[in-house]
Amino acid sequence: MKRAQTNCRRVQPLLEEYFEGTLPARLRATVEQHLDHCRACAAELVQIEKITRALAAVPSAEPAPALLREITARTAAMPAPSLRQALLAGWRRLAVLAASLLAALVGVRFALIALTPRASSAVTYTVEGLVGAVKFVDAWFEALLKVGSVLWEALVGFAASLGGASEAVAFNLMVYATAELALLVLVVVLCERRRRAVQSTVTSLL
Amino acid sequence: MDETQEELTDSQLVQTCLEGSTGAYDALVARHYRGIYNVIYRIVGNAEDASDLTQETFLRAYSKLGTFDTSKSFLAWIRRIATNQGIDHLRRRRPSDVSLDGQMESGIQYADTDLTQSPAEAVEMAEDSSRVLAAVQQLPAKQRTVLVLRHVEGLKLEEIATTLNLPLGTVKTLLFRGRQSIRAMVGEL
Repeated sequence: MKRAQTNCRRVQPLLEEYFEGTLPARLRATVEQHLDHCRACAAELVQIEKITRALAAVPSAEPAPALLREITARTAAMPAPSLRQALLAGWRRLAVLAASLLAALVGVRFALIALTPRASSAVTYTVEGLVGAVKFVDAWFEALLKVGSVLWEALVGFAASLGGASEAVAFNLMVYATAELALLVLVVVLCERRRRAVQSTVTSLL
Repeated sequence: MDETQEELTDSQLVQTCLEGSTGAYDALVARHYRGIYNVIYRIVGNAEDASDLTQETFLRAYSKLGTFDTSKSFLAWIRRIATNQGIDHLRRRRPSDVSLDGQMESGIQYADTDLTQSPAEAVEMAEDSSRVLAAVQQLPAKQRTVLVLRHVEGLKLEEIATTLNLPLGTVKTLLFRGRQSIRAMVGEL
């Protein structure tokens, strides 16, 4: 009896997921075994089913007949949406992406400036710190290349799925992709230049 | 809606609308306003508010139509706008305002009624539905919305997560807590 109650405490929290069919197979089998001989848990499950059935049988409501007319009259009085809006939205997304990348670039530049020895205070910076900076830039460089390749693949896939889209949207996509690629190349070139500069400083110190 | 537009998909209608066709958006509204009205009505529980919010949903969608990604589902997009409107409305509204005004008065249509049920079973089911629906109206906004989308609209858990922009685990938790609260409120069915 005590064992059955323990099992009930374990099984009852699983009943909702069992009902949804989202339990892993092993737990599902455990629940099924328990339900075969436990009336209390079986009754719990029936309650869940009844609530679900009652909700599914909720009547559909019919909107007022004037609703459709009111919506169409109000939209007719609004400025029409256009492809231009879509293009602007695309450029807005690009601007946000560019700003994020540039912010990251500026952050890395400041970090490198802080880590690079200046003539007057070279002794205060260790070689280990510079090596760490080079590794950091290297890792960032590699991450950028990965992000670039993932983005590029996503754009190619998206372009392929646009079979029936209008030329304007396809053109927008191409401009978008080209601008994004150009921005990535710029970031990568700047990063590489900084990496070489730090590397040469490290070499001269070693 | 003319015959040509009737044959177009939602995404094609959006595209046509963006290219300057004035009737394309009207066709989209005619296609979806009943479904959107029902989602909102189930969330807010009031016919007048549901009408206002349905209008706002379609106006908002129209003003942002250029930002809609035509490779995705228009219905999922507008349903997301509608549920957000419903949730925002519930948060603005005082708890004492909650009502189920026209549910019993405005001509109930038990669309899903099982034809094999006896009249007595059908009446019992209708009574259970009313009790459960009344309990749903007492739930917090997000639990209520998740229950409506899952059981009234029949969406999958993943679709609800996308619609509400929530993690799948959160959707499960909201659903389970909502059902437990209903069981506590209505007792045995």
